[in-house]
Amino acid sequence: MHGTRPQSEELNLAVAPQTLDSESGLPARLVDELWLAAEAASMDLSRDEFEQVLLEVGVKHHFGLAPEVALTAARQESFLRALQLRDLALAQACALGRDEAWQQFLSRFREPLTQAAIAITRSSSLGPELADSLYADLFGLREHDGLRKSPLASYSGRGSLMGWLRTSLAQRFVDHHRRTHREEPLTDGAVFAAAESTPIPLPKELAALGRSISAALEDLPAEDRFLLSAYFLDQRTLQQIAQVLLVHEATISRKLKRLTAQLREQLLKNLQASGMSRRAAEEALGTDPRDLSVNLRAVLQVSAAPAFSLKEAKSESQ
Amino acid sequence: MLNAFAEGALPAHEREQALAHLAVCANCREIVFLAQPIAPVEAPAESIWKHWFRSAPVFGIGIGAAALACALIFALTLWTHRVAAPTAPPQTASTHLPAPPLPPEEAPPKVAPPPRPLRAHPPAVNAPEPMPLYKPVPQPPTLDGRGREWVTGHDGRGLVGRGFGNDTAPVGGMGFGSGVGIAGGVMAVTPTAAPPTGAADAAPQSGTESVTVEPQSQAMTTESVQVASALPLRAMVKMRAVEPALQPLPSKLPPITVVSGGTRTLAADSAGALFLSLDAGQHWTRVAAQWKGKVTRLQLAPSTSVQLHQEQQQMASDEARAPAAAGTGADTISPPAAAPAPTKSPVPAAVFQLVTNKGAAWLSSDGLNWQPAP
Repeated sequence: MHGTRPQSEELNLAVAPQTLDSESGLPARLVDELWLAAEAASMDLSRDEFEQVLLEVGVKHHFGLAPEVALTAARQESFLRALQLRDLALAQACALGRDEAWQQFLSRFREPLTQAAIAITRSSSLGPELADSLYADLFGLREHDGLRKSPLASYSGRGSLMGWLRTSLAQRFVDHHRRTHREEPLTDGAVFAAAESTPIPLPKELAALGRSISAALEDLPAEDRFLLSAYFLDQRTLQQIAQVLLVHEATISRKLKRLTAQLREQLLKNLQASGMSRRAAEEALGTDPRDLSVNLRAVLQVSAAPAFSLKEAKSESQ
Repeated sequence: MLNAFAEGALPAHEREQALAHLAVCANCREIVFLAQPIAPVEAPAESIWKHWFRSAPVFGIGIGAAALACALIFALTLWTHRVAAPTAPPQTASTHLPAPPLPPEEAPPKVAPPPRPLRAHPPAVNAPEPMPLYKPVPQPPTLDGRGREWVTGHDGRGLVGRGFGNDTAPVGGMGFGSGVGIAGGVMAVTPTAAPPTGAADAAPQSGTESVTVEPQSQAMTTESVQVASALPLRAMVKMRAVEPALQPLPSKLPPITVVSGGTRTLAADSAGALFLSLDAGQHWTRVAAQWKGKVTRLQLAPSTSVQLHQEQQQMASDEARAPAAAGTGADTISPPAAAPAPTKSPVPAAVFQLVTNKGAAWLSSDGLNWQPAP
């Protein structure tokens, strides 16, 4: 998930095919149709190569179905038709080093990729540099076990290739920023953190409030915690959050308003359950947050649902 | 998968997993936000407006209706101004006159006046240039900006002189023969037409009238009278000085009323004495008083009075009646002993009328010989 690992490795969900194994293959009629639709021939990608790619993608993601859902031919076809077939064929052909595919790739994505890099870095000098560094990786200059491996091979076709490239650029930029941020010299005015002192025991009311907050946040659904994290921790705007969640920003605003009101009610309930009266609970909510020892970042980011990496680790251990 | 999540390509269960991970992973959240597509370039203002009107058609209709209303109001205002503004040549004044409040003594007569003639007086023979004449709306005397008393015309009959309260003659800056009254913030400019006597005091009632005025005298050249608007508080009258300026009267008193007709100019000073000038006010000669009292007002007589006066003169010439009075003083011109017989004489250029402080009216065609008005 972190670092420069490809997304396919980071977000690989441990989904095992249940009713469709790799030997069963795909219907020939469907493969022919999809191969023609992807214009894979123009990228020098054979039908068999394309069929193999489709099968790998489907098996990897269990054709988009939940693990407990049985796979049928209709669902299999529906999943494959929903893929970005042309982009998938192009990425796989490029990963195989086909010249025709690379020409198409450069003609389609060179300029947009540079613009995206400039937008991410917000610098007209750093942007092209970032894009060029990604090109080097995409060409497969790095060798793994003696074999050139292009990150394009991890593209699954579930989103657009341009979006995948933007995500790769963003990940590369974040990694670069973290590396260079660590190498930056300390400024003269840098304030070093004081040595951790022994925590002062909180009054009973404050301790109860901290526990109530933790309990209320942990019980929230994933989307609500994502909203709170993005809005309050990351200081993202309503528009940015709405763009990610593909809704209108007014919807985000209403959700946040409702969520905070709901949280307040839940906190009051939790405090009353801990023995406080309603009035005392309301007074406790007026406590200065600086008096609390609750680490909201830690609470919000401790999810009841396991993250991708945790799921992956569990599936591997099984 | 982050890319598929950002593009909404994940099914519900995978999206839930992605959200759960994003809620706890600040690194992936940052990547997702960074990888968002570039915001579209802002469309030009015109497109924004189009989109706005497209999304809010009712608002667009309202804006259009408001614009149409503004255009209609503007057109109506323009049309009103065109109707009210002078559109005729310089000798034609078109005014939109609201009915001014009339004092009780100035109420219109009970007898309905005949249609008002557009032409005031026949043009003088020796009048080289046209001159607009106006009748003022009766009003009490007012002071101008320099403290001088402004005595406007009294009854609007004929050629109304203007009094001057300034004792520093000559009085410049105001043209003779025109009267402009401003009463109650409403400017009224009326022609000095010569209505019948019964309708002489009739003030303009209302409505818009276009009047062609005739030249009277070179000495009475009020060169321009511009009525910019007939609306109240927007009236503007621009008058230029009379050339040449009047010389002081021999009595050294300021003139209170002046009237001019043809080549003769009459003036009465504040003592009520009458003076005559044959050279447009450059030289004055005192006229012997043939009436009792003081002269308070000078004007051109109405047409009916002129006709009666001519008939009387004709009869007097037939009877060879001697003049009634003789002049006094060295510089006083006495009427001739025998009035010249006006046989086959044309209609005089102007017939003067004076009114004394006792209300008596006297008529004269030459300014020297006066007879009581019939």
